[in-house]
Amino acid sequence: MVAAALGKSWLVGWGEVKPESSVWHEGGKLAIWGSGGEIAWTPSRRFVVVGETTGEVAISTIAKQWEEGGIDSLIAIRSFFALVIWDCQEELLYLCRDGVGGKTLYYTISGKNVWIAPRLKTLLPYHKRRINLVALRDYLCCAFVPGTQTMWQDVQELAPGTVLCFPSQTLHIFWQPQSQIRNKEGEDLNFWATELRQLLNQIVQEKLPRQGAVGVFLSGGIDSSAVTALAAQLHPEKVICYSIHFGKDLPHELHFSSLVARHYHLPHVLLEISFQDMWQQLPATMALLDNPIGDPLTVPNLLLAKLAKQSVDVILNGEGGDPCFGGPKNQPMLLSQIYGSSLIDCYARSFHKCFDDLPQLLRPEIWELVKEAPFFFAPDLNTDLELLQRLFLINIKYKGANHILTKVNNLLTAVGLQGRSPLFDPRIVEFSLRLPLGYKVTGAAEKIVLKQAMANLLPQAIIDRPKSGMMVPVQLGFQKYWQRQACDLLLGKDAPLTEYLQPDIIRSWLAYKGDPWRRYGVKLWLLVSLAIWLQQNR
Amino acid sequence: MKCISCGTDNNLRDRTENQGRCKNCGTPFAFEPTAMPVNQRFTDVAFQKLLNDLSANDRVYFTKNQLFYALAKRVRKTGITTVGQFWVGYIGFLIPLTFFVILPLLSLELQTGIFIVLLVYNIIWFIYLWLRSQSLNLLRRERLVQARAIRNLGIVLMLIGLGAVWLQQAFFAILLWLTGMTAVGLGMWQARRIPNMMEASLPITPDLLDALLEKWQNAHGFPPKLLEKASFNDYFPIPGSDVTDYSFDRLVVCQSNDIAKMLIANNFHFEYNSGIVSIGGYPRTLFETVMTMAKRNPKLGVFVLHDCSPEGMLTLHRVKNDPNWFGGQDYLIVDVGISPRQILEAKRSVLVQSSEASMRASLRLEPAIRQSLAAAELQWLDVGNYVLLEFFSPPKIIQALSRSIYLGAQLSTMEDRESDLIILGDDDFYGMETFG
Repeated sequence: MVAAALGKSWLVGWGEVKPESSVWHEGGKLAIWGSGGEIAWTPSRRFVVVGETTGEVAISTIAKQWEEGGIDSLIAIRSFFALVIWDCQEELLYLCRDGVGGKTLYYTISGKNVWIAPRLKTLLPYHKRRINLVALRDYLCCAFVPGTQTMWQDVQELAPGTVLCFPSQTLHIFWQPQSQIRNKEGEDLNFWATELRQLLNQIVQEKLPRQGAVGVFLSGGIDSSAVTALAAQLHPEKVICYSIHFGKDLPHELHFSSLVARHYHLPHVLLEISFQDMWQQLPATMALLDNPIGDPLTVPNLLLAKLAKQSVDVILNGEGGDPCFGGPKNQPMLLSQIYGSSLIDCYARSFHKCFDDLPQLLRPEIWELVKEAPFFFAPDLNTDLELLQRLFLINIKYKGANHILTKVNNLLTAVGLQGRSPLFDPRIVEFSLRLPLGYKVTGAAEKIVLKQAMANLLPQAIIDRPKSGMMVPVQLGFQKYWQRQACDLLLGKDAPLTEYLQPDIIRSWLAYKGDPWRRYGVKLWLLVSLAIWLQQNR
Repeated sequence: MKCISCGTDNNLRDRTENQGRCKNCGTPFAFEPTAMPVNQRFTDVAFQKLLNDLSANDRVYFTKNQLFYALAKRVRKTGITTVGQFWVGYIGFLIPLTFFVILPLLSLELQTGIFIVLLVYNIIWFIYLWLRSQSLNLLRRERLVQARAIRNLGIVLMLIGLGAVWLQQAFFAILLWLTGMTAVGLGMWQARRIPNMMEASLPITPDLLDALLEKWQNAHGFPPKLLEKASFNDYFPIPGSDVTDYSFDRLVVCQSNDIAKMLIANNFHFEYNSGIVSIGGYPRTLFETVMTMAKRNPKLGVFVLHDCSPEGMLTLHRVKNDPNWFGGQDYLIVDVGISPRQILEAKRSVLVQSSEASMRASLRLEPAIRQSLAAAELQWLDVGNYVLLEFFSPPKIIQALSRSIYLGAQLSTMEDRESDLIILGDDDFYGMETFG
């Protein structure tokens, strides 16, 4: 019965579990159900390893390394992974997750049992489905759920770079991003750019499939363009670029993405996403996510993945460039400190979602419960490091593990694609943590070292282009196309959010009353994503 | 009068019996309309709505002057402000007049009576429109509408005169034609005269606002988003070099310290990665730091936000030409407004003010500034006209700036490009959300 509910995912039960239908079990203490992951014994058959990776390293290789090096062996794994390891001899259970957080692992403790799965949905039968109100608040601020909390009160996410050991529940940290800035004489921009280029060559080479075509999600920004250029240089077979737009009449970045594709004579597949697609595909997209993610790129990501799957099995993307080399939050955060604002409030506000609306948006009794709860990123913001370095560390820690990578992993895996992010490889993250800040940001220019490293591979227009994110016209969507459906979903009878949110403010957003920053669209998308997620999970 | 806390309707007796408090929840009323002058009556609900509109429901901060102008707009009674409205009024009154007076006279075959009634009807309209065309309570553009309506009225009179000719009523034909031609002539004369007349005077004074605010504060507390006037004593501590060693994408230079303070309070700097200063050096403690940071970015975009006044023109000129600002340097400088051209081309009513001081200031402007303006703009300024930026609400100013930044990012060359009626322009440009 349990296995049937698992679909393509897997589940580990530990404690006093009934091993019916399990694919592997040991004396009623540990049982593994489902598919989608891999199981391997260590050579001595002392440890059994179940888990998944992004494909660069096999689970059997990891098992072998574990037997030799234990927890320390995990540092050397050049792939994202989520593992559960059972020590038959000592009867210890280890939950392990890669340092960057490219794979996820959730667990819930129910009586004497612990249930562990890489998909949050798999654990639904094993907890009481109570909403974690602090996670709800954080989702409304960030559009994702940061840290080890999940949207469920009784389920935790294993932190990246850690190993949790049962039954003692001891947490071992085998890797975490730490500032290791190295300022040595003679190590100028060229020195660092050369090192980065060598690293990127090596990493992209490793992430390319051994045979067959490879796809690249190409937005036209420096990050995805760099990955495209390297793939074009290093892959002997076909490299296909995939880009999206929302109609040629709406702002898009096709000019830049086409420039890169043309530069390397690569086939360039364009996907036009209609407003109807965006709305209709939202439920299917939310069903594939673990915690809800409320940024409007979820649907485009899934649609592009489906298109790419028709031609390739491996997709490279430029995720990681922002956290490692510069991102849209840094300069506004610096400015906020000039004009004197609370650092934590500013960081929460920097996601441009609902931080300032919380007192009016949340029902008063819920606001009372959560308003004093500290934010997950508060300890990382209040350190003695330079502000910019703090911001880089937080971005690497949370944005990757809880937002970008989990989103890409879930959506790509769902259509049978392997998604690989060379710029979020642990070696690039480590490089970024060693890199002096001046080579990431100078004046108002960002990603200096990446631009220098890629200078001879990319057209100058890509190197020089101003900062820009991917543009999704949700403001127009809610104004012209989705108003009625959104109204039903958010304010109708049995609307899933009315238990938590005040309908009046949602009504005023839907009517676009007083929108000085023109952000009601993006806020409404956040809410409809959450409403659909709640409908599906309850 | 409704209570702003619980919405209960309290009549005068309720309010008197409860010592000016709500009979249901006890919340005090700030205003007692019956004790206020007729043309300056406010209810608590109306004032609350004004504050809500201005602050987008307590989401944005606003200046005291912005509240003052919002109040002035609310108080001002405009009546007929378009020629279309005149025709609606004219025909609207003519219909019952026809039914109840003209048709009965027609049935009695009293042609003379009909012409007398029509003449009197039109003369009443003429007097009404003439008085309004002279009124200093109306904006000049509204007075111009009255003058055009007088001209139209004259044409109507002459058409009626033709009817009199057809009916062989020579006396009335001459009278109607004389009156009609006089109306056309006076209408045209007035229309030519109005642009050189003084602008409307505001229907309220700053003292009235102070008095209202005091009452409001006593009853409901200080409006949470109302900013105190910007002061050079406003203290912003200078952060460490880990913050100031960098730069930002753009700089907003405001003519007014209060507008700079309003933008900072509303986190504009944070939303648009933009430094904010005033031409007078506000905020004092940070000014040098912000300017040093700004000039560290060779691709900096400079957005100038100023009044439509001689001082506003001077601000723009200084930012563009003064070497202490960006004169002689290769920066993108965008005039967000407001310029006289924007006001002259505005499709909606703007509260233009005029003063002799502004007239003198305009005439004293440096030749280089005067030469940079079109003849019509210069003429507009020279008669003492001005429009303060604070006439516009904070959301409007924020949207105007956002739009300029959006356009600035889209167009490769914005330098010396006239801003596209940005503050008064089309509101329907839609925002694109970016994610990166």
